Amino acid sequence: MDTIWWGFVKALDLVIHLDPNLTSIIWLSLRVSGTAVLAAALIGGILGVLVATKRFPWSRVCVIVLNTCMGFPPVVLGLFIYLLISRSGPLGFMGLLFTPMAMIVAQALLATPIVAALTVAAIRSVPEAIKDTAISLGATMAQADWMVVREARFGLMAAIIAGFGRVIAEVGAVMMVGGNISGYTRVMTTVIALDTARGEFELAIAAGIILVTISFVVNLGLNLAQGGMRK
Amino acid sequence: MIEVAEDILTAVGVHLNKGGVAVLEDVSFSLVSGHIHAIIGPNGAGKTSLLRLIGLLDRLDQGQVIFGGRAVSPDCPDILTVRRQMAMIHQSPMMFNSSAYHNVSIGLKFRRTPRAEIDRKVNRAFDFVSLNGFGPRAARSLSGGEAQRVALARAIAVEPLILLADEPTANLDPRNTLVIENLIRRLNRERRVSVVMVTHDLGQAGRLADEVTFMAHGRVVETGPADQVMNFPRHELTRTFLNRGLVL
Ligand SMILES: Nc1ncnc2c1ncn2[C@@H]1O[C@H](COP(=O)(O)OP(=O)(O)O)[C@@H](O)[C@H]1O
Ligand SMILES: [Mg+2]
Repeated sequence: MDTIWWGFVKALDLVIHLDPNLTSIIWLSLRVSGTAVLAAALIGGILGVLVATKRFPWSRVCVIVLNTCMGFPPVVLGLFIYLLISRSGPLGFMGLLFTPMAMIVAQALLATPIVAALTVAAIRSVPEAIKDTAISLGATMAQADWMVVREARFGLMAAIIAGFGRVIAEVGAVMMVGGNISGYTRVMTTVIALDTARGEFELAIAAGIILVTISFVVNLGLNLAQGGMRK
Repeated sequence: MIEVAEDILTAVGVHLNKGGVAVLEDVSFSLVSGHIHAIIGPNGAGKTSLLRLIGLLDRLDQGQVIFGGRAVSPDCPDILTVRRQMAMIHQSPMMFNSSAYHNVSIGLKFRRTPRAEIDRKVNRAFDFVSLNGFGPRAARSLSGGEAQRVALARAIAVEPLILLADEPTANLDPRNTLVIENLIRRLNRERRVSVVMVTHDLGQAGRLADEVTFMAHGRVVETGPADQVMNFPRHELTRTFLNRGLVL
């Protein structure tokens, strides 16, 4: 009981005094997940828009594949990337293993299908009449598609926020390809997992508090975006 | 100067199937330039389907739509030029989720109209429907009557030759119905816009139309000058519809 109590007190102390060790971990988490989601928003967003607006023979299969990838186990993805970039792997020469870049790649790959699948769903939920109305007002096909995407804008925002929420809380893949190196690749989730395993709780609890707070803010954002969608 | 009545838009022998069902069978229709032509008939008669075909939103299975002296279809290379001479309004206007101004300006933006000109034309359109000052309002928050007026402003801002209206007053109260009717009449008289309007309101057809076409079961039963079709119908089906509002 005492350890837990003291863990909390010390953790709050770290949070309140902005302990440099803690802030550097938070900063790296935000940087890695932010960059990853930016890439995922670009790739997943474009992919989602294309799949949702263009009719091509395999578009249904694409949607099913995207939805499957949404729930892809992060540890398995971590394993794949590890095998690719480890010294003896085909991309080993790039020296990516245990770097923030490897973590960004892993998280981007995790977030891309999420963003893409939610983008498809958001665009598909726009009424057919939006496109017809645009066309009857003289839109080209591209302009009409753009109006549909524009109508889905709050849904696209929600897709990106959901992708961020997923990767910032993810631990398996970043641990495997990042290695939890102090001051270099240590992020909130890995410090929580590994410090706890070693019986050192204060930094873990502090990171946990921050992570839950971020998660709250993310969900608040999601909620606002969905509110805009219903309008 | 004597004006010669000239058809601006014609459909000839049109057949259309939807989901394996014949929705339009051998339908012919013509809109005289500068006139208002009402299409009446019971639900499911194919009125909306015909309007979408002549608005070049859908492809037909057989027959032709003729505009500017030649057959046109959604697959023509210059379909955009043709479509841009028409505009459409519907029973429940689909507003884009943005301001009323953005909605009214969108057709001009599609045409890459210079900004100053957009501003002028949009203001003129708002003025026409007596909604000055409504530009900044959220389009989705407008009342039914206001939304339909914004939809009309949006349609006429691009200065179309032809307005296609699909039961534009079906969801409106009598007062707003009169407002829309007056706007359509003024549009036709003052700006020489030719109008095709689908309506379930026989009084409205009588008040506005120069010509009336009566459709039932995917076919044109009767077509001609409004006065003749409404007051001296030739066909038994038309008579029952006009008297009892239904077709057996
Ligand atoms: N997508 C569709 N698939 C099958 N049948 C349809 C479809 N759309 C309309 N229909 C049918 O076509 C007929 C004509 O519809 P419509 O043109 O909307 O009639 P109206 O506007 O006169 O009420 C109706 O019987 C309707 O059920
Ligand atoms: Mg209809």
